[in-house]
Amino acid sequence: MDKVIRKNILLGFFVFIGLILFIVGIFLVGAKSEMFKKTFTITAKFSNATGLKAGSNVRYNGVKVGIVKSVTLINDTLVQVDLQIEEVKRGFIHNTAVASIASDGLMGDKIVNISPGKSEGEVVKNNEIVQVQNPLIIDQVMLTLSKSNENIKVITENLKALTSDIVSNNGTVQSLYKDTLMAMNLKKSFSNLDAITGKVLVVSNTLQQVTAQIQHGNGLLSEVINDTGLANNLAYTMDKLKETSDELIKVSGNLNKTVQSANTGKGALNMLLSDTTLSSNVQQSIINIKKASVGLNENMEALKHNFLTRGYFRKQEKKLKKELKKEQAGK
Amino acid sequence: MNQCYEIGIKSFVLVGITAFILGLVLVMQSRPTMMEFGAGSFLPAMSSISIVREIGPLVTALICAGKIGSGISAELGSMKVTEQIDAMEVSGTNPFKYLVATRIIATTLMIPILTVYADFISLIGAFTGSNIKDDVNLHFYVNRVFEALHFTDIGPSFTKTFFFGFTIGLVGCTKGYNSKKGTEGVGKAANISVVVAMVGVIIIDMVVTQITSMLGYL
Repeated sequence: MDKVIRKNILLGFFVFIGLILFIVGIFLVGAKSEMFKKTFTITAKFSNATGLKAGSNVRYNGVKVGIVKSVTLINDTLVQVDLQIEEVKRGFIHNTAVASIASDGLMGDKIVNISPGKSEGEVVKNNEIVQVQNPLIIDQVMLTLSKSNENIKVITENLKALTSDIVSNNGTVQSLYKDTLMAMNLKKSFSNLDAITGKVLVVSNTLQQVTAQIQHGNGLLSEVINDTGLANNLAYTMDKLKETSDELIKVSGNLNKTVQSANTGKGALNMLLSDTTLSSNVQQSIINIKKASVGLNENMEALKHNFLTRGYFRKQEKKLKKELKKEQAGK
Repeated sequence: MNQCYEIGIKSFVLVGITAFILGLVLVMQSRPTMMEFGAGSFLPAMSSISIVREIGPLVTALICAGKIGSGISAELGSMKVTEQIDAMEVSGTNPFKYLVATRIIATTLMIPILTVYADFISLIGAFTGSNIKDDVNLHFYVNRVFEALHFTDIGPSFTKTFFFGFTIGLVGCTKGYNSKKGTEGVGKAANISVVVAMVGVIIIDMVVTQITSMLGYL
């Protein structure tokens, strides 16, 4: 009887330990699958979620914070990935965070990596949609590489043709490569270029000094550049000059009209300018006036000596002398 | 109870040793190839998935098919040829109930528990194997092992162990119960029951794997 009890106890112990091990295993696997932790869900929408599946790890800056809850195709271009995140890690994830799909090691499973956003935002809420950075699609990368390879092939073929052409023909490049005279000339050209650059350097230094003087000096140019009052005066002068030139244009316009009318019209001026008879008459009149004035002078002189008018002229002379004396006394 | 004791505890040492060695050998054999690919850190994950999904249940089932299946078959066969079963029938006792049902229930219940032990012991063996040439921290190893495992790994593999146990018990009892031609027939029945149970276990394994794959868990 004791033996049976011993067997039963041993069997019970065996089964009990087996069940404990099984439960511990279940608990450990469940703990890794976030089954026994308080969690919340956020969503990321990717254009491509290759390799991602429910249960894949979610890391925040490389630290595991949860798992992928589900991967659902919502339309022809978007895949919705629900992420189950531990509640205690909520404080670290803000709504500016960016989710991306990465590999866990070189050969590892796909994971979702959440990185902090560029700006500080609010703490992420339940079922909030976070920004995503779509993964590189290997096929597309390979396609681009394939095109690059084709281009490289074409370039190398061209280079090959170019180099063989250089070697076989007596072109400029081959001359450059083999002709010693050209090399000497080039050397000279370079030395001349060197000298020119030295001079250019000196000129630029001088220019620099001049500009510095203009900036800090008291010269006219400096005043023109720096003095706002002078600038205002100059502007005023320019305005006035503009007005004057406008007036001049008007005057010249009027003058032009006058000249035209003088040329085309029938007035005295036109006759004076164009009629030769009138001009000769005017000339004759002027000669006559001259003669008349000479005669008038003789007559006046005769009047000065006439006994009737002589007194008047003397009075006039005395009056003039008095006025001259007064002016001299005043000075 | 007695059958459970005979099947469970008396097979434990054999299953334990085999599981430990297989875990150890699995890691030692896989390590060079994994290291060649620079994937040495994936050894714990690889070994845990291999052990839990396949090696643990299958090795336990095969060992039990050899040890328990043959034992049941020989025991029932000898009872049959010595007409003990006939005597039970004459005395009004149902031999099917007392001889067959108890053994089938015992194998169906004990093999899953033995598998749990085998999985853990095999993982310990894998940890030992990892530490032979590398220095792997126990905490790191446990983390990597359980990080790689999911319920989709444990569920189907644990479920199939019930079918393994049932098959082993059923085949052993059937072959033993129907053995003929005296002691020679007993030996033959034991031999055939082992072969049939092993093939049955492997076929069930294949079917369960196929179903699991169809359900999208693989």
